[in-house]
Amino acid sequence: MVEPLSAIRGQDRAVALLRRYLASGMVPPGLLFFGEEGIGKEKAAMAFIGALFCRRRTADGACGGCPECRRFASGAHPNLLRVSPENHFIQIAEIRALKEELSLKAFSERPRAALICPADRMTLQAANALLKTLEEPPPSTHLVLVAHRLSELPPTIISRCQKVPFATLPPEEVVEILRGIPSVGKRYDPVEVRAAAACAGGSPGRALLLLEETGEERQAWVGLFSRMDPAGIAAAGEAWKKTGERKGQIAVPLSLVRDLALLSSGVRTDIINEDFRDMLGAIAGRKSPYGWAGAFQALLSMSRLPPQAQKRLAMEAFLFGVHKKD
Amino acid sequence: MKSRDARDIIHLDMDAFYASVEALDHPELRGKPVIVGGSARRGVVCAASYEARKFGVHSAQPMATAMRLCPHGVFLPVRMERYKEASDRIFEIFHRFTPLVEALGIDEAFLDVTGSTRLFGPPGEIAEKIRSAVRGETGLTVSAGVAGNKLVAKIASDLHKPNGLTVVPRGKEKEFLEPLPVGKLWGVGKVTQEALKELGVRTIGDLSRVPVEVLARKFGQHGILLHQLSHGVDDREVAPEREQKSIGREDTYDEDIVDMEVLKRELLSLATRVAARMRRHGFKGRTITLKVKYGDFTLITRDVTLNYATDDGGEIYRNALPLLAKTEAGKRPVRLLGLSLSHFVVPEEGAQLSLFAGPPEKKEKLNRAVDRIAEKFGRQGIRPAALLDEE
Amino acid sequence: MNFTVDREQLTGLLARVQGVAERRHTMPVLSHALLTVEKSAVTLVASDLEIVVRCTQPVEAGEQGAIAVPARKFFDIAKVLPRGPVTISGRNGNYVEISAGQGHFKLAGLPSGEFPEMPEKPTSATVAVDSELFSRLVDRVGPFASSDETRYNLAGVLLEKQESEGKTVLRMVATDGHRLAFAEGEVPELGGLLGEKRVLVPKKGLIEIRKLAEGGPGSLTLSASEKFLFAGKGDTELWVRLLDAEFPDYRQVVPKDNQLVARIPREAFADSLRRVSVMAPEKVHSIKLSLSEGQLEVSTASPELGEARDLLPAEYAGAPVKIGFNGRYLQDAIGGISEETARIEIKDEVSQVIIRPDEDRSFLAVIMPMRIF
Repeated sequence: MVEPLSAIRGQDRAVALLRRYLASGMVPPGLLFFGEEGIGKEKAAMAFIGALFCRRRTADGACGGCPECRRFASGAHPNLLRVSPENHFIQIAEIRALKEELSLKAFSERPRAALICPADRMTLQAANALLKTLEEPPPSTHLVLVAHRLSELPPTIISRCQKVPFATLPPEEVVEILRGIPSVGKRYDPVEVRAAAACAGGSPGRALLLLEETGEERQAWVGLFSRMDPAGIAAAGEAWKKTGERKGQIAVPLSLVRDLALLSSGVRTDIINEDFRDMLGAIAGRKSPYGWAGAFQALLSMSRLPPQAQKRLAMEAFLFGVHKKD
Repeated sequence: MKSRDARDIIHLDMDAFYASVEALDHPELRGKPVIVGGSARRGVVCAASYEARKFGVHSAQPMATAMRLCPHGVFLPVRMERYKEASDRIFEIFHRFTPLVEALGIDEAFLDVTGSTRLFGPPGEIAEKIRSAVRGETGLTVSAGVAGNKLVAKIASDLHKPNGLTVVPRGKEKEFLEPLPVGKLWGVGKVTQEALKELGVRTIGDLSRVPVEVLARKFGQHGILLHQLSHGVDDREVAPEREQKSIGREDTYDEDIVDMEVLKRELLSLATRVAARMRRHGFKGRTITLKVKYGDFTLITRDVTLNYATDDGGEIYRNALPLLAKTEAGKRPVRLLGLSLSHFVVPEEGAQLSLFAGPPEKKEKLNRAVDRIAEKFGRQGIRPAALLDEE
Repeated sequence: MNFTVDREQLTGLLARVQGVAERRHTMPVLSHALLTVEKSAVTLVASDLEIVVRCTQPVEAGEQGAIAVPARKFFDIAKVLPRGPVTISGRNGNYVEISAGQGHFKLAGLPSGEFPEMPEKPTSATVAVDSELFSRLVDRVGPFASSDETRYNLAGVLLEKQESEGKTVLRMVATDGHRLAFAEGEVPELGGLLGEKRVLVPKKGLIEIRKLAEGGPGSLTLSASEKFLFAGKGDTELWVRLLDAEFPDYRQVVPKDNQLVARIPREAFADSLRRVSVMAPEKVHSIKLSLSEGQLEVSTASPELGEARDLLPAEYAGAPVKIGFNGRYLQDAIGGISEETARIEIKDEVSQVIIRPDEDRSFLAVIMPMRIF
C-alpha cells in the first residue's frame, strides 16, 4: 500500500518539511531522515517516494490508485532502488551496484529514488563510495538515506544531505498509535499497551516489539516479586540465562521495579502497571536490600550493558540480592 | 541493490620464515630449535623455529632471554639478503596465480584470486596449489587462509600454523570468528582488549553482540569499525604495491636557515630532484612527506596525501609548501630539510599513458623533455627559474 | 485469456525471453514474463530493467488478457509438452492453465499490473540498418569499451551520425581511457535513430542487439528515444536502456599531425604480435615496436620469463623510433582492420598513435603508448 503523508503520526515537523518540498517541486537530491528507531522514518520515506512517483499527487502525497502507485505498492516500481544490508552491513559492492544502475537513464519517465536504509549500516568504504553520487546525482534522482544514529554516519555524508529530523513521541501519542493498529487492540489490554508505551523511549516501533514480548511475562514477574521464594528465583535466573537476552526482555521487570520504587517512596501517580497496583503496593511495603529505588537503578544500569554472560549472571545476582535480605 | 562482486582472498604466511630458511641451508639444523637474531648482548629474536617456540622463545624477545630459555638452541645471525632472495622466489610463485598480490613484509601476502578461479579452480584449491608449489620449489612451508575478505583470511591462516590451510566458506565468516579471542581482530591491541574486557567481551562473538552505539561511545569511529569487523565484514581491497616504499632527498645545511624565502627555495630544489628521481624509476606517488630538523636536532615530519599520484616537481612543491607552513620553520633555525614521496601507484598502471589526461598528467610530456635535457647537460641545464640564483 | 499455439512456436518464444528474465532477482516479478493475448497475436515480454525483450507470435485468440508467468517454469513446461497444439488459458493475477494432449498444467502467476510498464516504442520513424554492417561495427569497436565497472561513462559505445559527401554514415565510438576506436558504415538514412543527437549505449545492451542481428536474414530496425535504443528484427523487439553519462570529447584526442608513418602487412603484423605476446609480462602485456628504415621489430622482455623478438618488413623512411604498448591493445586495433596493409602513425613515444587501414577510412584506432623502462 502507498500511504499518504498524513499516515505519518506525530512527526509534524518532518512531514511539513516533506510537504513543502513536494509543493515547491524543489526536492533536494540528497535527503537524510534521522531519528530513533521505530518512529516512522522508513514509512515516511516510502510515502514521500510514493508521492514523487505518483501521477495524481495531492497535497497529502500519493493518490494510491494510479498505475505508478499500484506498481509501487507491489514493490516492483522500476525507478525505486532499495539498498539494504545484505549481511548486516551495507558494503561497498552494494553501493557500486547502485552507482552502476544510476549510470543508466531512468527506466520510467518518473523521477528516480534510491532508498538507503539503514544508512548508518554502511561500511566506511561504502559511505566513501557514495559521496560523489550524493554531490552530483543524475538528473531528477533523489537519494533518501534513513539513519537511526547520526553519530555512526561519516560527517562527509551528513553534510551532503538535507536533514529531515524525526522526533521521539510522547507516551500518550505512542499509546494512541498502538491503539490504532487493529491487531494490537484485539490482542492486548489497554494497560499492557500503556506499559509498553512507557518503556519504549518514545518509539512506537519499539513499543510494538515490547508488547509482543511482555504479555505473560508481567504476570510471572509480579508473582516472583511477591513470593520471593528461592526456588522460583533460581528458576527465573536459569531461564534468563538460557534465553539470553531477547530485545526488550528486560523491559518487563524494569517497568515493574520502577512502579515498586515509586510506590515505596509514597508516589501514587504515574504508575505504569495500573492493573497490578494492589499487588505492587503490597510488595512495595516490604523491605528490599537496596530499597526499591536502588533496585530500579541497578536494573536500569544493567539494561544498558551489552548482552552477554556477565549480564546474565548479573541478573541472577540481582534477583538473589532482592531476595536475600528481604 | 544486489551486489555481484564477492571476492576470494587468500592470506599466505610463511612458517617461521627466517628460521626455516636457515634450516633449509643447514639441513643438519632440521628439527632443532633454531633462533635467528641479533647479538647476545643487545639484540632481539627475529625468528624462532617451532621447536624453539616450545621453549617459550618468540620474536622481539631479547636474545639474552632466549638463550636462558633455550640454552641448547642454535643461535644464528640474521642474513637478510638470503631471506630476501627466498622471498623473491616465493612472491614469484604468488604472482603466477594473480597479479593482485599485496605484500606485508617479506614473508606474508594477501592475494585476490577472484579472477583466477576459472583458470585455477576454487580458491581453496588455488591455495593448496600455491602451498605445494612453494614447498616443491623452495622447500619451505607456508600456511594459508582462504575467505571472502582480508580480515577473515588473515585470521584463518594463523589457525592451523605451521603448514596449515583453513578455508572459511562464504557466509560462514561470522560463525568462524565467533569463538575466537577478540585480540585476533585487526586493530585490537592490548589497550582495546582491556577496555573490552570491562564490557565483559572476550571473544569476537561477544564483541559482535555489543550494541554498536556502546562501542561508538567508547571508541568513537574505531568502535564502529570494531563492530563491523566483529561481524566478519571487511571492505578493504587487496592493494598491490611496489616493494620500494618511498623516494626522497634531504639536505643538511652548513649553517642553520631561518629565512623563509631561502627555505622555500631549498624546498623547490628538493621537490625538483625528488620528482626527477621518481620519473627515472617510473613511479608516481600520492603521499608527500616533509622532514624538518631544527637547529637543536629535534626532528618533525608532516605529510599530505593527494587524491592522485604525481611525479611532477611543481606539484610536489605546491603541496609541500603548506606542510612547511605547519612547522616552526621561519621562526626556529632549520638544520635539515627532507622531502619524500611514498604511496606509489602500481608502476604498471602508471606506465600506461592515458588518452584523456587529467590535470596531474598534463605536464608529463614537458617533464619528459626536461629529463632529456637534464640527461644531456646535467641537472643545472634546466631548472625552475626560482633556483637560478642557487649558486 | 485463452489461445492456442503450436508447441514449437511456444518454446521458440520462451527461449528468446527467458534468458533476460532470469538475470535479476531483486524483484520477484522480473523472473516472470508478461504474457499478453490480443486479438490475433500473443506477446511475451521479459526484462531485467536494463534490457526489455518482446516477442510476438500470431495466434488465433479466443479471449484477450494478460498475466505475468514465471518464465523459467513456463519454459520447462513447454519443453516437455507433447508436440502439437497447446491451449493456454488463465485469469489475470492468478494462474494459467496449459493443456496439450492429455497433459495438463496449472501455473501460478502475478497480476500483469505488477510488471514494469513497457517503454514506449520511440515515436520517431525507425531506420533500417543492415544486420551484417551493425554486427561488424560492434565487433570492431566493442573491445575498446571499458570493462571497468566504475568508469560508467566509458562502459558504453557512442552511436553518432556522420555526413560526408552527401552520404549518411553511422559511426560507433568506444574508449576505455587508454585507447579508442571508431568504425563506421554507410546507411540509407539515420533520421529516426540519431538526428542531431548521439546516444551512448551500454556495451552489454549493444551485444544483445548484435545477437539479434545475427539471427536470421533481414536488416535491423532501429530508433532511439530519450531513454532507450530500440531494435527490432522479425518477431523480436529489444529496448536497451541508454547510459546517462558524458562521453569524452574523443575527436580532440585523435592526432592530426603524426609525422612518422609506417605501412605494414596486416596479417604478418598480427601473426608477429601473437608470437611475441607469448613471452609478454602477464600483467601488463608490454610489447615494444622498434621502427627503422624498411623494418619493424616487435619485441618483449619479461624479467621472469625471458625475451621474444620478431622482425617484419615495413614501409618506413622516418627516423628510428622505439615505442611501448600494451600488446592486447595492438591486437584489438589490428583486429579491426580487414585491408591487407595496416598503417601506423606516430608522433613520439609518449603521444597518441593512430592505427588504421592504409586506404579504408571506415576504421581508426588511437592507442596511448606505455612507458617501457
